[in-house]
Amino acid sequence: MTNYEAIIGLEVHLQINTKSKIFCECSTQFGAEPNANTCVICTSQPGAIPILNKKAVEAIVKTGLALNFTINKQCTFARKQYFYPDVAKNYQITQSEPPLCSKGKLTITINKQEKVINITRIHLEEDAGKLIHEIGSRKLDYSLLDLNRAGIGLMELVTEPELVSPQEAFEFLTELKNIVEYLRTSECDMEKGKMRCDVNVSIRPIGQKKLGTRVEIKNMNSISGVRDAIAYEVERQKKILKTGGKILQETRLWEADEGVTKSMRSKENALDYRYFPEPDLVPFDLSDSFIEELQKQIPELPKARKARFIKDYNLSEYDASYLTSTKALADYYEEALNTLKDKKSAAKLIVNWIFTELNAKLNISKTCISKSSISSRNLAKLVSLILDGTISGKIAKIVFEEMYKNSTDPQLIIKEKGLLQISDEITIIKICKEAISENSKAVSEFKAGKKKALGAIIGLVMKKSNGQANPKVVNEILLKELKDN
Amino acid sequence: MIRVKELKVKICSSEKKSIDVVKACFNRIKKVEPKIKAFLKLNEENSLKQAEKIDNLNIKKGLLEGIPIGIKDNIMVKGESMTSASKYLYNYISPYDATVIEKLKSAGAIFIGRTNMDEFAMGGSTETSAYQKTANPWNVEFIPGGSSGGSAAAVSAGMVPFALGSDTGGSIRQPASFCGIVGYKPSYGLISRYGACALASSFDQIGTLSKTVIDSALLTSVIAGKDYRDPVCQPNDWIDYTYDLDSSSVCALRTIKLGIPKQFRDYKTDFEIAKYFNDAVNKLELECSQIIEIDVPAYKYVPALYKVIMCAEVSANIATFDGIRYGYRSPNGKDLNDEYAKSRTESLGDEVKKRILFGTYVLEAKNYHKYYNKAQKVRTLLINQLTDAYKKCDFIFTPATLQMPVRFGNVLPEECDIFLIAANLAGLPGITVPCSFTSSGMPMGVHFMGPRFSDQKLFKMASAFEKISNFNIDKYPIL
Amino acid sequence: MLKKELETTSFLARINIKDKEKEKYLADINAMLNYIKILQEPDVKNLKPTTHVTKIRNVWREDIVKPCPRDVIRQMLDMAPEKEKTFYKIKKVISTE
Repeated sequence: MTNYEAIIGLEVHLQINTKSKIFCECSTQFGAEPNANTCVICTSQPGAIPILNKKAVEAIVKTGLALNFTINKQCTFARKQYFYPDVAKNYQITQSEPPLCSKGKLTITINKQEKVINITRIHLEEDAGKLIHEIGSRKLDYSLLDLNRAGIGLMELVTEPELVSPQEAFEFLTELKNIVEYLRTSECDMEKGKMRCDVNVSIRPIGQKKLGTRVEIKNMNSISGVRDAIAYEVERQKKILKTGGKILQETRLWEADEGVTKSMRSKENALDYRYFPEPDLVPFDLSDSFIEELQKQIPELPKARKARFIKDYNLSEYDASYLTSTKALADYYEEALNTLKDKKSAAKLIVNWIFTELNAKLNISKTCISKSSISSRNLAKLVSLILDGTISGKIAKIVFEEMYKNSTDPQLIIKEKGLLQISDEITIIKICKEAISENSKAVSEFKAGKKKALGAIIGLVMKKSNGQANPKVVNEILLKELKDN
Repeated sequence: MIRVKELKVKICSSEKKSIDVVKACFNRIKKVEPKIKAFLKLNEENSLKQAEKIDNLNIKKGLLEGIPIGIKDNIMVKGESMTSASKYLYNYISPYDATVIEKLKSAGAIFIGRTNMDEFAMGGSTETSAYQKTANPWNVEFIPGGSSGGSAAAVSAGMVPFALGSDTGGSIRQPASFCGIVGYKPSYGLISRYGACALASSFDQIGTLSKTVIDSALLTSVIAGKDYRDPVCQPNDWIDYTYDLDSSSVCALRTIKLGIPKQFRDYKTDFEIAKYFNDAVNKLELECSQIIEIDVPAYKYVPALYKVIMCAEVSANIATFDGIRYGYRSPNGKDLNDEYAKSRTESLGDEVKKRILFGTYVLEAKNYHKYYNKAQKVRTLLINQLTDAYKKCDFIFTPATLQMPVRFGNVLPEECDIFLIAANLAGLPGITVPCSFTSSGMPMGVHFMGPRFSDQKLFKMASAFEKISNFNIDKYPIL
Repeated sequence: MLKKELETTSFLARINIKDKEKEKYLADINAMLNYIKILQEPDVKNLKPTTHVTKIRNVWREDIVKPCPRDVIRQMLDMAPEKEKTFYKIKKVISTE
């Protein structure tokens, strides 16, 4: 029985985060009325000429630097020619050789092991328009063209075929998204098509050098979708080979709701893109200072932030990597922490509250932590109230519930509900005296040396104070009282 | 013959009325246009309205206040038709103004009409126009040249003082010399291409056709200059190209060094053209200009180079004419690809199709290096040799064309415009100036080509030559 | 150029050629190809191709939105051979998205 291994390469398109399109001054606003964001350039009227958006260049260079790419300071744009209605000029402005960024890498963690994935290139290009084939459920026997998306800047990132499992692809995309979110060079929203991923999958008998026949999969609209599509495709190919079949080189579409890939009988016969250098746009000759300036703008990235969390807040490896798994989470945590003076003591406590109580709630309501009804500031307050003994952990849970419901300030809740912890001796002595007189049995047992009996009396005291009495103080006073009488 | 500059002064000082100038143009047009067919569309009504408005202004500060001008039909004027003489754009209305048009509007120029051209400027005779043939005013049996043949004929026949053209491979200068007027193609990047229907983007330049050098210089002063909408456009500050183009400029000839490529001898040249060119050389020597021989062996590659690169860019630029968003859509398409092909096949002319097919072929993966990339390298060779040549001389001096205009239906040899095309391949400025009339009664012209952005000096040179040549610019064709 | 190549090229260019025209086009294009043979002559292996004659580099604009005037957008749509609402209406495209 031969065993097979999968060879997977990714082709990721990221919509560059700019206000205007890459080659014209139209807005990139998502969801505008069809063709409302078009002009003479992106509809390719006669005489129109592309004008490059500087921010798009900065975005791709920044992304390249963050992923350890070599930046090719001298390169040009190219025309990639093919007739398709969503490409108004019938050529797409892209880059041939060399691209702006070559040879980068990204490290993923796969079952506690670090693995470096090499990335071949990132280049700049323009997005295509949208074709509509059905309105709602009504299938059209014609097509409708909306050029709002045409000409939005894209970064195309192509990996080496070095991924070997659906999980690795998942980890790669998650980490890529995470880093790009830190860079703010793309919004990476797969649902809105701002991040798209095509996959090349082939399998071969383990030990074989030669690669198997490559199948391209398109049309995944979530990172887990990519993982599932690959898993399905690998199995499909294994079945074919095991039953002596042959895999044909083709493009397949992922049908998320059916969980299968289907052949896309695209008659791409005689595809020849006839690339040539774009004469309308002048070449690049990027200066070192231009690149250094962008290098400076690169913020602290997930890896560095994790290390800092461990060092500065002495968090465990586990806690730190969990917190930095998404930018939103790490930001929430640090915002909370930054409102407190004594960070060290609060650091771990805040992690616990996020992990247990807050996450539980957010998971149920499927809300992102950045939209949490409990602001980072309020969570920090709650924790500090516990730390300074204003409330006990037990009370805190009650307060938390209230905070989550009405996103109120914990201090207010405590005031209104009178949940303050009682620490003043006079009050506690009074309650303790009562408790002692009411539970002579336990008292005599204690005096007889049965230390355990003390618990019963403490319990009674807490009961009488609705759990607000400071346990520490109660303990001291009781021992004193019991000795005295 | 009255110069535009004087005309403008008179109009601004209300000594002359713009409306009279415009009327004069249309009177001439009514008389001769039926024979010439230089215009695809005329705007008499609007032009007169505009002229009247200008006459009523008390301050007229525009550089071309109330001056009529002809516009080649491949330049966008908002709200006006723009066909590029192609059936594909039969119903197209420009949604915006070309940069040069914006500048002309604010200078107060009046757009008399749209001039005929070869379809999408592909041709050298204006015969490939999908709409009409334009005649050479000096002999209506002959071609006016092209692709800006309409502009050239209109100016030469006195229907309009000057006109805009576009020059990708001699398309302004060749018809200008065939029609006995001045034709100027600026350095690539001097004038914005924004709003000029693209033929070959790396060669295209808008330029001027006029009776005199100073009129071209004046028009250039209005339309040249930086434009963020054209990335290859040089960010230069405004220059008055008419400055110092007066009589004094003849003395300038004393310090001038002119280079004549010895390759000129390698080509069969019309003997009268050769003769009058030699006369011109002698005249210049009498003015103590230095005439030297230069060696630019790569000239022999020029027509082949041009074919490959131009057609390659054409194949991409014309691809956008697909019947999807505007223009002609075939009613006979079975599916999308069939509709693409039918829309294009039914609306594009043979010359255009031939160039598209050739350009597509030389860019196919298997041919790219053999043809396209090779041509771009030979282009470098040519540019290097020209750069060396300019170390020895100020301008390269040749006849404008090696042959005289032919009768309709006859073709000119590939090498006819070789000295004009070199300017496009290297992005250099070139100007053709009428030199003399041949025994046929048809004009012939000479061509001065300077280094990149020597345009101002080039105008001085041309205007000096204009003064010493005995070509009578006040002579109009009898029609 | 071979007949087969002409057919591929004319598909790539979306130009139909009737069978009876094919010979003529082949003749014309082969004449052109023959004419440009001369370009194989000079030794240019050490020369860089000239893709741009201009020396200007890095021409770009700031990331600012300047929407196209509504009336211009409308006019462009009105010029469409067919439209539906504010869409360009075209023949059925076999979806590849």
